[in-house]
Amino acid sequence: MTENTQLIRGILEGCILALIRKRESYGYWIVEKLRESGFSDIQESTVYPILNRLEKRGLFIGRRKPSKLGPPRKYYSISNKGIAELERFAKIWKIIKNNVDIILRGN
Amino acid sequence: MISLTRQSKKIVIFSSILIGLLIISAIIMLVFWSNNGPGNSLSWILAVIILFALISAVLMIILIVKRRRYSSFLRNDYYEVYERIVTALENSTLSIFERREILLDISELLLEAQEKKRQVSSVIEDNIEDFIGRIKLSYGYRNSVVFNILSGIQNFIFVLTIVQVAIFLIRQTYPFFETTIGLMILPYMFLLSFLLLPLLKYLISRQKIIWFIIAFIIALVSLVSLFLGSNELLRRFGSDIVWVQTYFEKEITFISSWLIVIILILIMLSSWLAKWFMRHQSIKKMKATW
Repeated sequence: MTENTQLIRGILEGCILALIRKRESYGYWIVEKLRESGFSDIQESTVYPILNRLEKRGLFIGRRKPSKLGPPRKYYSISNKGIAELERFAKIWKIIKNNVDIILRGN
Repeated sequence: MISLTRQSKKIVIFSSILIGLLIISAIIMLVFWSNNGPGNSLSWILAVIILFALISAVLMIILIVKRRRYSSFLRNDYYEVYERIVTALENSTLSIFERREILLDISELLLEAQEKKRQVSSVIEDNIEDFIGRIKLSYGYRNSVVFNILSGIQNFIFVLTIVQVAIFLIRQTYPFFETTIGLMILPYMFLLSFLLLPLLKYLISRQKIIWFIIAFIIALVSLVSLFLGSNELLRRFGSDIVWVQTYFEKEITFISSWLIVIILILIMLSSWLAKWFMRHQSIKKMKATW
């Protein structure tokens, strides 16, 4: 699967919002969860700019906490704006998935 | 002892050659002038040049040590990738705070992956420049003409200030605010600020060190040749023309008073503010990609 297509990145944004809604998370944990969920070849270098972008848009709140490994780790939690955006994504995804399923079944 | 990556070694070798050449030429000039030259008035300036070269060498070492601050636990391939990211970031348009923030995040990501014994190629894609490009976009940086012009203006002010300070130190005859710059060097300063400096920065950020060295030498030779060649041609064929005479004889004072200093500081600050505002607007305009 090509990770860096616009489509995959768009879907990843929604998935990351959903993961962070469940609990306050950090970059590596998010990548691990995405990998476990089927995005097996996803790279940190794909996820990190997305995390940044979502934070800059105000959908996440980033907070640094000390880490055993060395540099302080950034934890992300979802903002109200992020929750609204996630709900919008879920709605659009449902419609797209439904439409594509209908076409695929027809074939 | 710090182990150097190929990238660091290239930087160290290139910087050492430049610093070495600077020191050798300054010493030769010192020896030459102490016997035949324009007296000892310039000797201390050359001594300052040598001192600056030595300080640069120390700074270079400090810079390399500083790079290891958040990455001292990174090994082999991981450190190599980290170094490439640092080089690309240091020469990007990102601010010093943004770079620090990104490096903290990336070194943390790399350390985690290294702990889990993953291949570095599964963590960071091979094309570091694309990766940095996407990070820059996430910070609202767009490659716009206005943004580049504003950076050019800042370069131009910086370069002309350095030139006036250098001339003031060399001549030592007038107060600083009366130190003049020949009109003829302005077009070259313009070229340097709007074309060459951005080009050199771009080449370093794209990790093209060899191309950077080639471009650096070509730029230096071209600028000097263009300066000498065009002056010679103008002197030979246009010495009767009024604007050519003005071009050769006119001296201007770039920073002529405290008022100008304040105006220049205001221009610098407003350029930074305008760039910040453009980025802020760009972030505001970011929409979901779905």
